[in-house]
Amino acid sequence: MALVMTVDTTLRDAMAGDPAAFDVLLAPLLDPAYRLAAVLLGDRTEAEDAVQEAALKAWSRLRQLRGDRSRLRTWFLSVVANECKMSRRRSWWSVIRLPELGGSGRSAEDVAVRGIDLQRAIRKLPPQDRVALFSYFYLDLPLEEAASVMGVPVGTAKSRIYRAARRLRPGVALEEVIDR
Amino acid sequence: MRDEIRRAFDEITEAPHPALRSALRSRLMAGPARLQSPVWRMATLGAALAVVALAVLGGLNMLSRGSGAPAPAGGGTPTPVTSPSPEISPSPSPTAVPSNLPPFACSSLSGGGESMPAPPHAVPNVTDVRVGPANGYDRFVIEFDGAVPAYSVTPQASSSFMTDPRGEILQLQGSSGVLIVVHGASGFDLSGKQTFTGSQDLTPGYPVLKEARQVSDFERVFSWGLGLSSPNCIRAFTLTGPDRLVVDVQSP
Repeated sequence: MALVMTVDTTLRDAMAGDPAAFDVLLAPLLDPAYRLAAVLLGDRTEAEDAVQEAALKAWSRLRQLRGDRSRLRTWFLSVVANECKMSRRRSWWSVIRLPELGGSGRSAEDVAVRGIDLQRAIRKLPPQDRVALFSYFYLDLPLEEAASVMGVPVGTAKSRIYRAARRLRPGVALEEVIDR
Repeated sequence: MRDEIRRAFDEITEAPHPALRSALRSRLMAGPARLQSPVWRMATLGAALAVVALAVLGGLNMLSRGSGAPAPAGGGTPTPVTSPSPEISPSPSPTAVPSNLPPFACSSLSGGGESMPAPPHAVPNVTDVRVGPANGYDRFVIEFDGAVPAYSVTPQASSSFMTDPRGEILQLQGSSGVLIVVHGASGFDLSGKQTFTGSQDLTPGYPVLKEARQVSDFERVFSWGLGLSSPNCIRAFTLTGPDRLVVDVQSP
């Protein structure tokens, strides 16, 4: 109970504009937020900028949580993803650039690989597929929360995760991918 | 498979630089007055310098017509020109963002099509649809590759919309809605090539705007429905560079 009270007080203080309280709330989220931005933007500096901008916007919109701190992580990651999407004037996925992108080989043999080749295969995926895999597998978010971060309905998220997994491992069964 | 992918992402991404938290903390400590991004602060500074230059070169009369002039009284929208809203193009072009926005209204709105050339040249295509939250409103944007054609924006009491031409009922999130219809535009150009490839169903879960979904793209009538948490007033206007139809739904 004491922990709950502490958390509630921190959130309340942050909502009241206390930067130190918001900093405390945000600290454990910076790592996943930065990695998410890096996955989406493919550039370290841009990812850092996006996280900072997202944090500032999140602070000003903290009331959207309606006092429910349990939603903070997913909500903030959604804000980060949105910031990545909208930080450029051009359309969402077209602005994404990764230095590693550009290879034309997308055969099944290219992507059905393990280890270091799996990293290469992931880099070759479209950004929306990368963020689908990242949200679901790396962040280990439930399907509903992964969908929220991706900004799509749950059904779309499910199909996108499965589609991305099949690009890495053709023939993989749905049950092997979506287990929740 | 989960573990393999997790390890791969571990390798692909890195932990954030330790300075990220301290940099963020500094910005937080700076308070709300520093909530603009460096880009926007630079843009604001540039605008201020431009206004000074205009004042020197052209006199104060120039200032009254410039973007630095305050919004007219009764405008109903205290939204600053330099709002960090992500939906507004950050282009420094002075035509990108109007110096004042129309007031919110609780009735149907229409516009667009003023600068359209006569057919068959009037073939703007939709290139993007997106949403964004802002202080005091949630924003819905349709972007075109040409001048914004005629449009109507109609509030409705439910969040149900009928698709065209199938006539199916789409039940969006929320309890009320807004129907946006653009006449003479499509997500496909006249050769059949798809120009709008983004999601046709957005669920941002904002305070008011819960869902935005394409209702039709048929015979160059392009329409979207907005599912709202409650009936709210709206405003609609166009922006250029690129050409956009912007619909703001007022939020508490």
